[in-house]
Amino acid sequence: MDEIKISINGNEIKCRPDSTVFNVCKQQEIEIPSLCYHPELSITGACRLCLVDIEGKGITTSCTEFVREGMKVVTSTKDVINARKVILNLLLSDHPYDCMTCEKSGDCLLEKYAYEYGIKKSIYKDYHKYQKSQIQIKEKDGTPFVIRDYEKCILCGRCGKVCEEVVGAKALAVGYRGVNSQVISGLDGPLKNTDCVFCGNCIEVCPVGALREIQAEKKGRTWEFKKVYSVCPYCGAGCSTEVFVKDNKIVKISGMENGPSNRGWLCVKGKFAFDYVSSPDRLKKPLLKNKKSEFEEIEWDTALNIIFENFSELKKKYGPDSITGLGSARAPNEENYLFQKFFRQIIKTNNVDHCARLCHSATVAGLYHSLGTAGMSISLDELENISDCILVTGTNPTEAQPITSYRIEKAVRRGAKLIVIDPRRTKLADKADIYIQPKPGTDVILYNAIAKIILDENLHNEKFIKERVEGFEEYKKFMETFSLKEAERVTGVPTENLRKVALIYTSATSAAILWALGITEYVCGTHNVLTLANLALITGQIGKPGAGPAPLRGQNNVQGACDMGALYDFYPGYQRPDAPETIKKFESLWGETGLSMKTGLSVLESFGAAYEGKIKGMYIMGGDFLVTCPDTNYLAKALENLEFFVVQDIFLTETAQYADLILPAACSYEKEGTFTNTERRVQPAFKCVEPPGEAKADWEILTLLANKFGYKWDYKNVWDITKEINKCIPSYAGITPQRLFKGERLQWPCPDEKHPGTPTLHVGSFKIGKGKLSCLPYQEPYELPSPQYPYVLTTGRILSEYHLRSMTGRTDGIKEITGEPFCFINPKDAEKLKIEEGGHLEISTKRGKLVLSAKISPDIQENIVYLPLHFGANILTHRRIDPIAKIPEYKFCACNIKKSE
Amino acid sequence: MDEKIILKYTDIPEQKNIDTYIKNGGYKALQRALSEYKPDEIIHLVDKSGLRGRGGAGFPTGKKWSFIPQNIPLPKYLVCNTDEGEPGTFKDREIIEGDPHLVIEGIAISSYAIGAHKAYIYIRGEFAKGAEILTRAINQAKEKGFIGENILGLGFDFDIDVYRGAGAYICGEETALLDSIEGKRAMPRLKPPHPVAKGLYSSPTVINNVETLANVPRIIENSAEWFAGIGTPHSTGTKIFCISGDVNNPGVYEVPMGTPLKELLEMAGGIKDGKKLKAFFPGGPSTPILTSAHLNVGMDFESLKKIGSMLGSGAIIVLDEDRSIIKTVARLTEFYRNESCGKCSPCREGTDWLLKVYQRIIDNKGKKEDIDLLLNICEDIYGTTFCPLGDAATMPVISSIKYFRKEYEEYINGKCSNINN
Repeated sequence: MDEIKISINGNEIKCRPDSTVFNVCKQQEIEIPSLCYHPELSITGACRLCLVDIEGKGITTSCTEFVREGMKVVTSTKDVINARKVILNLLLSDHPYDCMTCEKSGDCLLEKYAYEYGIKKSIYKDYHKYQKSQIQIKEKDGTPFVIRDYEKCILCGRCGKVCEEVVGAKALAVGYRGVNSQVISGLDGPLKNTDCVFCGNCIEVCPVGALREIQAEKKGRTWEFKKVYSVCPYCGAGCSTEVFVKDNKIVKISGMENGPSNRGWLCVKGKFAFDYVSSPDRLKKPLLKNKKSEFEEIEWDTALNIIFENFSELKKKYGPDSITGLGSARAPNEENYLFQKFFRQIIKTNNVDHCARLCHSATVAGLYHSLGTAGMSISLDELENISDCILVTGTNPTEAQPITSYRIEKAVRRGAKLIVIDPRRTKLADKADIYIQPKPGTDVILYNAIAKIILDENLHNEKFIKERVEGFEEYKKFMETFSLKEAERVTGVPTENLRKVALIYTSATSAAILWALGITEYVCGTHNVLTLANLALITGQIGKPGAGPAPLRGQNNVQGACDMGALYDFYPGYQRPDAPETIKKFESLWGETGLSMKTGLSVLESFGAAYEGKIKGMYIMGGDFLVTCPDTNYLAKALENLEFFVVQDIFLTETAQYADLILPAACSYEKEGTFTNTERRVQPAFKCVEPPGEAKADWEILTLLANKFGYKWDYKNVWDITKEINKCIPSYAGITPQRLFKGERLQWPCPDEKHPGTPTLHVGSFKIGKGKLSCLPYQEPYELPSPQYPYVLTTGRILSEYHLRSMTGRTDGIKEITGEPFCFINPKDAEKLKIEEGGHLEISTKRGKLVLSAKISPDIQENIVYLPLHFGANILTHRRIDPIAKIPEYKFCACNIKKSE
Repeated sequence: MDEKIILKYTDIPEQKNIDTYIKNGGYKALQRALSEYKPDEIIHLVDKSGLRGRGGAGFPTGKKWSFIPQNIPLPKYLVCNTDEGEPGTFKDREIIEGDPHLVIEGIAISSYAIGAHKAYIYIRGEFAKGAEILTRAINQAKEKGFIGENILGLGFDFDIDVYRGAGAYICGEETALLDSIEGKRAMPRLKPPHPVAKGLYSSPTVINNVETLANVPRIIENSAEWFAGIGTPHSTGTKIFCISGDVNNPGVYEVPMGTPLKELLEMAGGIKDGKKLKAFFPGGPSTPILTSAHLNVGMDFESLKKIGSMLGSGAIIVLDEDRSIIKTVARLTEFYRNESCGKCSPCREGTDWLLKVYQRIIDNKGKKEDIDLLLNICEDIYGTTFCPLGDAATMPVISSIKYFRKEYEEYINGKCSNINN
């Protein structure tokens, strides 16, 4: 776009012709007051405070005025200042003068401008008794998080805009007319009766004190808070947060305005679910199980000695491979790195894995095989701004990764086509150009069918295939025998609809494919991922900004924990343990000899081995595997079999109940470290509060322990470990502590200190040379419905909760909005079983039973039960795993349901 | 010229029926337009006639139509603005209730001219009868083949929907009206883009007033030159004036543009009870007030502009010598204060404060400084609001103080004679 020249205060300035005067002034750091402008929202033009003088036009609002060649702008003449004062006088005329008790004071834009423009009292204030307008104050109108105090509202409209344009919830909007205008929810009822998702972004954008956090009420004044940069501890979006701390307590959390993945926004969990940090249930001292099976407090030194003694003995008795360690996708990179190092260097086993095995291991395996790099191909910015087709399958970002759903919402508003393919009709389906509802567990055949249509109709990209793909001839041959008719029968989706998908996908310039556990958590999970990679490869929808496979990761450091090699089959940076060069490299880096080349055991294999008595010792660093792994009853028996079991966690979890020794860990707000989000972006988090009691950061515990084993680990702080990571992992080489401290938020690969990071993967070539196509036959789910168990049970997440609720469940508001544990069933099934909304039903599988309340929803297909995993779902699920990625099939098992009295 | 153009047949009750309308020459213009003219030729014809918008702003109609981009793959829409909300205005109601087919024919021809296949009549919610009459007329026109696919066998597909508003003055503002049709809360949109570029459902849209569109068939029937010959050189054709207030025969009067107020007052039977004229709004309260000194000014766009007022919607509100200016303007201010959409601060807050000052004066608690305070508030509102509603609200205040400052002072001093009127 050609730049044009305008003059601001006599200075000639070059700018893009699509900018507003306000934006150009902002870029020039000329401050213009505004209450309604927000960089992430569309132009409102409501407050009329951003007045400037434009030659030939007079005093005009700068946010609504687009630049023109030769335009002459003066930003602060006497008239302009006076006109701004007039607006402030009007706004202050019915605004309460209670800054001395207002929670927003110090951070209130109206207060700031009144100060700057010297307005002590509105000139209209004397007329207050003639006030006829009635302003209602809706304090605590039934929502557990938001105070709506409309006496302070200046009707800038930001809250409604963020609700509509960013979140897509449309729960808040301006109602009534004229001076009686007021922000209302729904038909002016309580927020909880609307589509409000309690993300709190309305609070984030409110320039005054009209919308506030209930949690922060009376907890201190703005200037008393220490503000610390952190990363949200929940999903993989990796939202940058600003944590407000007073007296070693978190008062509130805001999104960082320039956060690269979240652009200032948060969701209900990131914004409000932090009460767990200061919960009285936090572990404060090491606990040892005594002979009466009770836990008693012991000193740290004793605890570390016990671990040293027990692991040493087990190692001597049964060999190093009798011990296994499980890291955590919510611990920082440094700690996962150290954890796997502890097991590989000190225990000398590759038996180390973590919870990514249970969610995206199929993605890692599939993408590593087909493309050579296992990560999101693009950045979230590209998704929002560049992708013109977004295929969303097996993921419900609206609830599981809300920040990404905001990005999709914006992309759709920009005009991007949206394809949603999911057995459960998700919220995004309402906004999709086409929604496909296949039968669950039929992804391989469904995506093969789309590929078949693409090939049949010559929609594939021959040039791309020729240059960058291998195995096409074989693939084409395999597809020749593929029957679309059979696909239609198996998936239940008319071929015609898949043809539409193929057309939309192939006619895009940059098409992204987003997925999560609805694709991976099957016994054919890796194959599912490979079919998606195939689609991108045959169409060339990869290797350019905004295009390519884009797995949405479920935990804030699941990408990082994988990168760090907390995996039984990979050293840090996906270097194979059975490759001699890997062993040589790490022996030299760690100054060690005799590292094991034997592939270790995955999460479920470890528990299986424990069940069979082959694994004797286990060390879990953060993770409630008893309830997050399938088939809880089996797991319990496996844990009982262990000779020595250590759990390091922030709470006495259900898994920890089985431990011999429990170590109290600091949570992510209590320590430093880096997290790698779903778009491969590495972000640091800093310490906000002190850990409770004697709890310690995982890296400190591991360092102390290593020294007990006689190793000289001398990390003085987390950043020493980061520096070691820079040396071990080529794609992290340039992501140094110095650059992180300077504010750089780089996406790997970043091979050296000058490298700017890589937003788009696979440009020009793949890490493995050419992309590999795979010929994949359809495989049925493991446990199909039977006369005794005629329904299909599938699991997933809901917005307000996270995993087994050990964190979210400790915030009262979250408990309130979640309510009683529930599952979803189709109205027809409800009718058949005479189950009413809210009535109780019993779900049973071969493995266990669960009683919950029923939510009846046509979004769920007939004969399917959708059970949020948060409610102890794994008492029901089965243990069969994908043979390649070792991921369990959480998404499909046979069950029966009946009305429960 | 005695002959009426628009209100020619509105006195005939049966004119509402399509057969009578056709008998009186109706739908011939449509037939002619579709068969004899290309769309751009109609735009040219209307441009040549000098027809200007009758909704208030007086923008040249042909010119507006010519702004519709023709080379983009988006549908085009025509919207007939029947949200006649300006106080004292009731001409559009007269047209739609008395001769609905004339409006439909005008819409059809205009749609053809701009390439729209779909038109909306946005009618204010209070016009229940009008909506019913229009809907019936549209159905009749559909039966006769004047609306539908391939109308009159001339290859033009065209449909009209009647969309009823819900009683907000702001919906008369064209972009707020579009929001209302789209099912949103009516709030003015940021311009540019103007509706001709990005209007209804983000597509090119022309919004015309009822009276404007009703003139179109007449221009086709007669000629652009014939139309341009009526009225003044820059305000061509006739204008329907709605005379209300203190006159003997309030009602609608269609006269050539430029007719002096004096003549119109005579047509309306003069001032009630033989009193004298004190003041009048020439085009609704959104136009600056004028006084008996302006009786001979021609009622057209230029002449009124020259003396600092506007033709507006043609709603002449007449005040006799006993009327209280303060109470009249206070009542109008209350109207604007209630009808401000609430979006921008100066209009929302400013109109409320104007009313509060008026209430204080009326409560006999006014201060001398209040007159300047009123002017100050108006100055603060004028030019800073998002849409013209705020500007309009200042018109009666500023102009009444300009001509009747003495009365304001007397009122505040407790010496006003017509305090109760």
